[in-house]
Amino acid sequence: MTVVYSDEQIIAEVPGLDRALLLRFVEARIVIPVERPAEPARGYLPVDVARLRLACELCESFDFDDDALGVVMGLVDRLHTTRAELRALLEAVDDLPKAQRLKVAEGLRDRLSNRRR
Amino acid sequence: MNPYEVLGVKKTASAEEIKKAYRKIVKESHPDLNPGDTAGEERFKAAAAAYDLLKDPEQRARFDRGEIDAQGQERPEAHFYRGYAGAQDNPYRSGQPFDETEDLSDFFADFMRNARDARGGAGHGHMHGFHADGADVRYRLEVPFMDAALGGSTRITLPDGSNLEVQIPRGIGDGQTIRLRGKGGTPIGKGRPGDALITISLAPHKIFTREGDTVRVVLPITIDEAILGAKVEVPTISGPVKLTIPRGASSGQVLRMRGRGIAPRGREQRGDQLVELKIVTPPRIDEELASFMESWRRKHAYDPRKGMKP
Repeated sequence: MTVVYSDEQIIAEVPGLDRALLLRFVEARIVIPVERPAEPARGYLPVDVARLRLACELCESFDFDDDALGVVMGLVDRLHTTRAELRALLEAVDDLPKAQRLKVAEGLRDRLSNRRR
Repeated sequence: MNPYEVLGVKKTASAEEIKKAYRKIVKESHPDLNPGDTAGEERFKAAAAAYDLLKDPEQRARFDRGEIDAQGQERPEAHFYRGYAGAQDNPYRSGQPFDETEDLSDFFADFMRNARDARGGAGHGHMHGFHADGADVRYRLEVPFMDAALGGSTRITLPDGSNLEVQIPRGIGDGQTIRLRGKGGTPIGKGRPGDALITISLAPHKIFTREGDTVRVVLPITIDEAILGAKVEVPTISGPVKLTIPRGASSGQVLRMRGRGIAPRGREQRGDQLVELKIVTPPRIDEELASFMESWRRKHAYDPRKGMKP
């Protein structure tokens, strides 16, 4: 339930984005527009503004083609998903009693310090 | 800010050298590529501003002649993608969305397996040719408030022009995902077809708003209803329901209607509806009302702003 951007609005919002580039990104599924059956046109959310900004910066800096950009964006998503999962795990561990927390810390240190190879 | 210094190039650097220097800083410091590196973020912001100025030969020449300074080159505060990327409702999150109703006993085993191979199933049995499951395909769909609250169905048009019927489960929330088995990518050999993963955005409603399984509504009431109390009809997602307005109600007061909210996906128990009262004066203040208020005020004046002095 947030702001929804039209094609024109998102082009105005993201520096360096024009209609041709937006169509390319949609075609390459780097952004996925929100289907809006009740409205005349598809839309975009604030997450897409941020994502397109990153895509434009990467294209401008590295002259990526669509495939390379797709690979990099996929890895970026994977990196952030993994970090979010790790954070959730750490928060769950943080809720444990102190003795158990220490046990987890110990197990983690053992695994990360090659002692169990 | 000296843009040359920020990028670490000489004043005589060629456009190619400037681009190369900027590219190096993006690679090492872009906050979306290097989450958690706060010093990197500062380096990137400065480099982006410097590059914005120097990439345009005309602007660069004007800067070199001292006609413009580097001020005003600061980009407006951008929201980096990483602010959204890890969020539970990010439609671009990788891997399988966690299912709330999932049995917990094998949760960790599944999690570890997912971590090792995001989707098992590639290449079973080289003896009889290669088989692989089709890829999952992601879509996003805006759903009317009421369909999300009560369930419904809609169609989405796929990139190839065909239609896909989507059943919307009752109580689905913003950012949640519907999985349509077998509606994704084509498999190889005897693999299974992939799934369609449809991330939901809720369309706003003209009277209801929603926070989780709680529905909120602003209810206009008359002055006499506010003062004397009343029983009035309130819209809910399942039709109008009578609500008692207490005697002496004020604007902003919130009443709770238990069990009149949304039943979250897969559960029977409905959340609550919160009703915020809003006193609305009559469209025309007639003589009778005005003279009554004047005489009332003479005897009964009160100060609701007492204690508001900062």
